[in-house]
Amino acid sequence: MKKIIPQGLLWLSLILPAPSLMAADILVKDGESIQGAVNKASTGDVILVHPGTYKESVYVDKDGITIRGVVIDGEWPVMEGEGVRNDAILYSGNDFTVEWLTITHYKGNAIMGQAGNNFVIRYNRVIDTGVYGIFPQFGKNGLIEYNVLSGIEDAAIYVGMCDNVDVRHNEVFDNVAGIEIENTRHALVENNYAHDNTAGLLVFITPGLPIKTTYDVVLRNNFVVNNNTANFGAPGSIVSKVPAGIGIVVMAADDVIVEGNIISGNKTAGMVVTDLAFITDISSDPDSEPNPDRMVFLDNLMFDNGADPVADVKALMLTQFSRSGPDILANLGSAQEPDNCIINRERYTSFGIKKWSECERKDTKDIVSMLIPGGAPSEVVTTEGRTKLLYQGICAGCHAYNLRMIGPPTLTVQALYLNDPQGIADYIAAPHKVRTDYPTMPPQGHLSPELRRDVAEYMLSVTK
Amino acid sequence: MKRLVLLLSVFLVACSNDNTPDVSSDKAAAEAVQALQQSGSVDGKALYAACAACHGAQGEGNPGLHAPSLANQQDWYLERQLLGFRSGVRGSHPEDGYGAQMQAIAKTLADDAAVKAVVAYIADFKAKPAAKTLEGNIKRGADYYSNLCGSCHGPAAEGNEKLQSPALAGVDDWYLLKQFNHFRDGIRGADQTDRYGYQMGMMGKTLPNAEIANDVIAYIQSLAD
Amino acid sequence: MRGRMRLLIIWLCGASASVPLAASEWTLSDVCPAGFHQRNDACYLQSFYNDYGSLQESGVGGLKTGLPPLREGFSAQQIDLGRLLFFDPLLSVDGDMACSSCHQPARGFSDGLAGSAGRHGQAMTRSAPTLWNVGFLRELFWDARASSLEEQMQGPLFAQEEMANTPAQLLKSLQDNANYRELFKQAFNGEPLRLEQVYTALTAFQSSLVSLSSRYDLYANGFHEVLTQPEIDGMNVFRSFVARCAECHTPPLFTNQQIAVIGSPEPDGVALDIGVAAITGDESQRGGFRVPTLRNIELTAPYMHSGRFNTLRDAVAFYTGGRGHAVPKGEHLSLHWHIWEPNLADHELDLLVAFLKTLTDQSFMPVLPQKVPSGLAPVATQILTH
Repeated sequence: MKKIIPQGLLWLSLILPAPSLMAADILVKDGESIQGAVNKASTGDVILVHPGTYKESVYVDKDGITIRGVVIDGEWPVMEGEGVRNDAILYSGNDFTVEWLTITHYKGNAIMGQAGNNFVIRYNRVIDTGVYGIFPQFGKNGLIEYNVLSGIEDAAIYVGMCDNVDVRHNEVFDNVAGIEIENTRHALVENNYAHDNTAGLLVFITPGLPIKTTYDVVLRNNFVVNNNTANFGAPGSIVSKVPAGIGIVVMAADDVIVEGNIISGNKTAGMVVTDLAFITDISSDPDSEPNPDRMVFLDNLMFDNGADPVADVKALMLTQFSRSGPDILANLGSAQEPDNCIINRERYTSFGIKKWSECERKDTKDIVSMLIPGGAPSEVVTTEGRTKLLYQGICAGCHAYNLRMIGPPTLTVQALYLNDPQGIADYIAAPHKVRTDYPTMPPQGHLSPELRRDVAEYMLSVTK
Repeated sequence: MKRLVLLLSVFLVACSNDNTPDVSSDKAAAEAVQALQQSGSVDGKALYAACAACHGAQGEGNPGLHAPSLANQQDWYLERQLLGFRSGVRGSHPEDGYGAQMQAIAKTLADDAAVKAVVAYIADFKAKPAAKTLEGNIKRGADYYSNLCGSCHGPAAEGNEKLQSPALAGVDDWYLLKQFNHFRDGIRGADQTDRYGYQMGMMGKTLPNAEIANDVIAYIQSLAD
Repeated sequence: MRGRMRLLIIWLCGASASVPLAASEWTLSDVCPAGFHQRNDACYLQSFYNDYGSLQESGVGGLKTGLPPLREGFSAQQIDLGRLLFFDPLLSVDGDMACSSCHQPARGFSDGLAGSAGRHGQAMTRSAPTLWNVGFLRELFWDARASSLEEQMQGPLFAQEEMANTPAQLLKSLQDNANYRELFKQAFNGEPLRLEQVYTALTAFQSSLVSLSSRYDLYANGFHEVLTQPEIDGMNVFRSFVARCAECHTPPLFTNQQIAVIGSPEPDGVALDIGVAAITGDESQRGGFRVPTLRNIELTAPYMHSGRFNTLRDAVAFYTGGRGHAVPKGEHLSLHWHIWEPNLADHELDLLVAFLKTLTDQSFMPVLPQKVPSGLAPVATQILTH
């Protein structure tokens, strides 16, 4: 039977032995395959990866899987892409955890999520790896903490098209972008150390994506320091268009709060607030609202920013008789409007914030986390639930219990095949026309004999 | 008082008339058994002579003796039923009096060849739909027929040999109703070794009530013309 | 009371019955098409994906992700009427073209041509898209210029170079036909026949063309054993952040329904089709087209908006040919950021093709009518046997 396991219960089951789930540890040693362990694993299992070098890509299409590196005397398990493998870990399942791995030399991403909810990505080291280091996409409710990432040609940590994510206690350096929050709502970026990237923290909207908004983002208590690395992003990528030397970029995102950060030594500007015009040569999207609205800039420590600004910024600043870049640059249009606010503005060098209002909010003590208490509800399909899912997904499209649809009613099939599930299993592999006034059933021979038998037994047991 | 009488007579009809053969029927059945025991023929025509007393010379049936018409039933189905009577999977239930008669008669047929011979003879009768004796809501019957019956018995109740589902159109409506009730009540098709009978036994429990069963059969009757 | 109960029972048990009573030759089915369940006299999809959500209800994501909203809730009769109209050449001015001329069931509801054949066989410039899963799309045409199926179909119906009909002529030809008069009554509660009903019926039918039971779908829903290892490997290339196919061709529909400028080539000697920019006038959308679904892609060669590539192998190879390699000299296109230099190996291209073929599923193919109410010969209702 399909069970909807509340997220909290599932996490609990990882700690406590729950009789219905029977979580197991699966050991992987040097020379063995992590993917092999994933293939064997079921919901709740923990895959323990021992020190060694693992030259593979791992795909997790199951719910409730944990991959945990085992670090012994400073020896880590290393996933090695050798510059030829695509991604190190790609998950689609819900309730996925990956931790304690070193990942290096992949062409694509180190850790990528595609629609898995309730993810945890922590204690990983990602070095010199392709496009993104950590990139959950289309995920709801996730935690990214205590990771160290460097040498990424796009964003080290890229939260793209997600809801409810905390990113905290990470170190990102020598990347093009440190941490990106893009087309995402409800994100807390806290206590991270972003240094020596082209730009440190970026909160923005990319036009042309199916999810159009970024709002409710808090950047708090981060070190954003010396982000002056020359841009080495791939041609055509969004970040390849970001000028070097910027601590924080807020582009088109709404309701962003910046508080308690130490932002220093960024040579173009400490923070840039801008609309979508900041990025050129990208196909426009009428469904993406281009303006940054309702920015809240609270107390931050900013100094030594703007020492050597890029030409555009230098030209802007010259209009204010300055050759240096500012701590805060509100660039054009709505970025300069009074729906944005600031406190203690006199402490910073700035451009374009004259109209910003005084913030009513003075701190963010009320915001503890953006995670969803109890986790995002997610349909966890158990092994037992598979057959029911198959019946409902495939068979029930044509067979109703006691009504004629495309196929005969399940009741009549039950009468015809009483005690003979094998008869159904055989028939559906290669159906032939039996009834003059019903279409021939599409063959299901691609289902294994066991699956056909399972679903046949299920069909005989349906009671409504 | 009137209602009590009505109820009582319904009860009597249900008990006696429906499932318990009357004197004339018993007499005819006994004569058939006797005739078959004496003849020993394997000729279909000769064998059928014993059947004709109840089912009529042309297989047209005789409602008075509760003998259904045979002319509208398919040969493969008649054969299976005769074999079923012979083996005892049909006509053994204590409440199936007419079935018991047929079981006795079928068992006096010499062998399977005799069964085939008599069925072959019946197969040559000209099909002629049995007369309508029931009234019902044909539209409603059609809905239920289409949903639950048609997938085996066919869109025109023409039967489907691949599924061993007999034609129903043209068969006496009173007989269909009685047999349906037998299936529903476990008088027929209650034995799992009677595979096809048991299938119908399961389906006999899927119509919501007797009134709707009546409607379905009225609809089937309407398909005969 | 008892009567009402009975009515209820009839409604519950008998609502979808197909009654073979009708005396008339033309009766619309009152059974919903495959994959659809009847509720309150309307048809609603039942699928693997019904119980899943998606981020921001976007209908895009990963393997177990909910679908975007479907145009559903039409009656079985409206869908069935749409089926007959779809194949009936009465809808064209010359009585020789139907919707199915360019959207042929046997060719994945496309036509096997680079540019579709218009009136008098005249070659058009763009490739006919598949109609499988078209009821999920918010925008239609390669350049996204229509925002509903009702709006879209008035393009080909009334374009001089296509079916070349006029609204008045179309309405008259249907009203003059006794069969259609009767069928529209059946589908629309006896109301007088109007063009809006034609659009509704065709929309109802097209939205019933759902393909979500492929072998890929079985994998996505946990039946991993139905794909072979090369097919799984192909899926992994597909969703990798190197090939990045899944970034725009996003499950479960294998389109994110956005506009993308990818710079795919026109046939030799043909000028650049500027796509969306011709509609919006926005130069940054020059060469932009709607991201097409890849469902049943195996059946709908040739590929891309201009049908430039004859095989799936050629089509996937385009993406590893280098960013902008096929953009004409002197043209500037604001190419999509996912068009890059993935440097895919040859065997990875083969794996991609193997995976794309797992998206083939025609199990809900509608019944193809062997005659249509006009009495004209129905178009493209033969099944191809290979």
